[in-house]
Amino acid sequence: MRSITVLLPLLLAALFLPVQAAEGKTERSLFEKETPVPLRTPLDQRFAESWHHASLAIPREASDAVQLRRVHLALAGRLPTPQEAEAYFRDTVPDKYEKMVDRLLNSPDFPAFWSMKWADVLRIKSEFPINLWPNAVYAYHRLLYHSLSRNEPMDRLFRHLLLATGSNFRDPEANFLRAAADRTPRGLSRNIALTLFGCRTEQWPEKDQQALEAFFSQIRYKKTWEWKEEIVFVQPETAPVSLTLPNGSAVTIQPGEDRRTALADYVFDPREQVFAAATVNRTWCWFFGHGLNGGSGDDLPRPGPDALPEPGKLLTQQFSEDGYDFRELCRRIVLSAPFRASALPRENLEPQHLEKAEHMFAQFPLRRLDAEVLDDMIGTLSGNPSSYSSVIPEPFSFIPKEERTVLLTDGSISSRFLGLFGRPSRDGGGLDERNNRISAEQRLYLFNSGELYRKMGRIPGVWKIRGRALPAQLDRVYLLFYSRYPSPEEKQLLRRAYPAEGKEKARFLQDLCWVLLNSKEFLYQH
Amino acid sequence: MNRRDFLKTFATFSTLGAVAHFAGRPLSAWAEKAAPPPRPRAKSVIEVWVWGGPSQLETFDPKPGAPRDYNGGFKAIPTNVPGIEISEFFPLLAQHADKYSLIRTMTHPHPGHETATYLMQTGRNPGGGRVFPAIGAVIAMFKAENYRGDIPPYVILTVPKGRFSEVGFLNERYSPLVTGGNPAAEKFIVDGIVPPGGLSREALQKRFGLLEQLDTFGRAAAGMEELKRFDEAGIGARRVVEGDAAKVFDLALEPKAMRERYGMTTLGQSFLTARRLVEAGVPYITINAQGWDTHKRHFETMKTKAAEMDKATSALISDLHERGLLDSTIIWWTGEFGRTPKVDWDAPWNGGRNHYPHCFSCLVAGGGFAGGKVVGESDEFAAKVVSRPVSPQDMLGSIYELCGIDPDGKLPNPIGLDVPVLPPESAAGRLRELYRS
Repeated sequence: MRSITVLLPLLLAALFLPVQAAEGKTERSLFEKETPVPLRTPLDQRFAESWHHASLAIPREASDAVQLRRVHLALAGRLPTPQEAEAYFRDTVPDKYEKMVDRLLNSPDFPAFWSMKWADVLRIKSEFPINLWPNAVYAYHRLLYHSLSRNEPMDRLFRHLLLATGSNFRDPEANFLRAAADRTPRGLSRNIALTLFGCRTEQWPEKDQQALEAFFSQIRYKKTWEWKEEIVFVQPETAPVSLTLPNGSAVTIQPGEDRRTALADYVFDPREQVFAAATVNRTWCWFFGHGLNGGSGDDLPRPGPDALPEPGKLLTQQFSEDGYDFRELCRRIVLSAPFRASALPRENLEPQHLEKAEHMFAQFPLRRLDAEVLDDMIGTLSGNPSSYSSVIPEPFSFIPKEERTVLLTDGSISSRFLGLFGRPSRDGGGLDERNNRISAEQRLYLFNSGELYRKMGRIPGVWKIRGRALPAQLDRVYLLFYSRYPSPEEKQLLRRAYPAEGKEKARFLQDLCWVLLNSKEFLYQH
Repeated sequence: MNRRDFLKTFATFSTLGAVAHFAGRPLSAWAEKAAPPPRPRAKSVIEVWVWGGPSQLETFDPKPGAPRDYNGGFKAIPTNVPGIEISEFFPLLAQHADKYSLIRTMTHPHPGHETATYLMQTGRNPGGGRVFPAIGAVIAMFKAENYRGDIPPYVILTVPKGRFSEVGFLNERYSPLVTGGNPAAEKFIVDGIVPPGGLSREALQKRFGLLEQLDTFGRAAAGMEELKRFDEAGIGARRVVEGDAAKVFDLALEPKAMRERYGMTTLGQSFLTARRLVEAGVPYITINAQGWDTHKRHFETMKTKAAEMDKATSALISDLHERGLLDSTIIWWTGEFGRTPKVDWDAPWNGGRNHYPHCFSCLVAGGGFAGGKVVGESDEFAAKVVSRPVSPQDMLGSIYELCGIDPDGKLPNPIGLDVPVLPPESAAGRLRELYRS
């Protein structure tokens, strides 16, 4: 039995070998154009220069279908619907991509998806070790969500968070300083540096850590008579005190002043670009899987754009000049050459060049999709979205089934699926807490889980077309899962595999859905 | 100050805080007196996590001489080891006291479920922004080298503890397989391992065939490291689907009498499954027993909970012993804390006990732990440690040592932290008095 299992694919491969050799070209053409990606903006020029210095060719442009899928996943955290896909392929206007980008940026899916990303950083979680408590979680999340929906300048929200005082329930921004596993001045300063500077201060010299920590030494917390209410307040200065900013300059805090104000002025100073550089590098990482400097997206050695390569410096400058407009930043990124580049490795490249190309964004990096996005995709396809609830006492939370998983407010509300696919713990707020590595357990779940079998039992979009001819069915299934039409070779292969009659014939579409769900093309951002 | 004086000093302290106070001292003061590491006998560990906190008085530290406000009017019974008595709630376990030992002086300062669970599972105080891995993930990692099974090396029956990530910052590979399902049901469906209904092996193989042939993107992007990892992960997963892994969870393969010996409940059959997992070589198995957080109507709840637990635990110990597996399998049985010695008879508690971490009990058996012994002594109410406090990290450290893991060695981890497996042992020390020679 086992030997047949091993031999069968080999035999089949041998049969198809002549076809496959010819296929190579068409296979690639599904995913990339034959032309290099156009260089349209000064940002693209900077990238082209860095590629040139590294002896990397200008990458090919990704195919229309790939760009359509990629930008939907990147901006809205969802797949395009078959209708959206077909309309896009039919559209012939030259700026159809830009139009699609604007539509997505202004859709409700944008703040839904991006509130998830920012909630990871802001450590929105009701239980151990963050312990915000459910009511505070909702207040905090709502603040973030509304700020993103209204596209408020980002410096406004974050200045607000840094300088907040008040009740965790009534002043949602006060939760920023509560969302810390370690609330000592040292612990708070680490969190602030991670969030606002995109730096890990553990690696700083001890005296620099002490200098930063001094800005938080007057933060206090107190309980009230209301259950789990907590007030964040500042112990006022009684005498002038001199502190040192991370750039080395000294500031004097007068009695009655808040030490944090001086820090905020520095962080949002357009000459320093501390917050701008951190946000640009982190956001870039969200789109590409690693930061502009090649790191984790929140590991700049020092605050500010100095450690970023040229394209990063330019993008930081632009974000700062755009008035910290987050949508505009995302727009600049998805219109850039790196984002529109092919994800396929160039033919005949040495492995070390492959790595360099991904590292320098001359090839779009492959990444397994985020847990919540996958859960939403499966929910939408199957018509059976996951339901979530929390029994952390007071108040119990039951999330409506219709609500997208990316909108889950609370890092403590989870499921086996989300845990398995690496949803971040939100314990520390670092981008490396999210785990997009593929594992045998994940593949086992996708192969064989009863939960998934029950969900995918009758996919509405597929069930509706069960009476149609095979080619129409294949088109539909491919649009649903891959946002593209099947290639002639794929159609040919599937026609051959299509059983003539009986139970197997009836189950064929289900088999195909299983195959597509378990494929690289479905599970990866590419 | 010699070791005896140390212990005397400790008798007056009852919390981990007190123990930890001395833990910061240089080890050299008494390290030369510490025994060399024991022979690593344990191949597998079964953790019976009595979730919610089992009462020390109604399990292994009964106080028949105390007033009814403390013992609720319940008695102690003799065991098959002269001098050791346990609560009358555990008559079956009383017949096997030669095979296990009791620790009556587990102690730490945390009365909240989350923090206490974290401490008991990781040996570390919460805070500091890092979530450390639980003992199960650590043992799974160290034992993975010599483990060739298809089932993941850390299995939890049947529900997760939740509340904190058991794998902490270790590689996901060591995160537990949580079975879900119900082993006492007609069919024990372990999600992902036991194939769901309706799909034959042949049909599944056809799907795998089509998956390989249709891999259009995979072929176009061939050569990418990430896709190689994807294919490797698939090979491992397919082995589980197509191999014999599912048989371990097929309890119909056990004789009816054996199933009944463990009790035909979810808990009983979870214990039986744990034994089957030990036979399959799985290094770490947790059984999460629920329903022990008895704030209200404690004694009524104990009557049903304890009977089920008594049957399952005694069956597991005696069954492993009969199969010659007890010597290579550690069983440790405890919760995150014990319960308040003084009963709260008033409404709404109606005879309840609350959280109590200062003095509680733990049962250990097998894998190099001697049987028939008692460690530590509590006061007349089971409220305070009188002699020989045992801290969570010393409990965990003892299990590690018997598994051949050096608790003072480095904890390898993917994020580059330079940390030992456990914080330094407390002055009272690991459970060397229980190590078999």
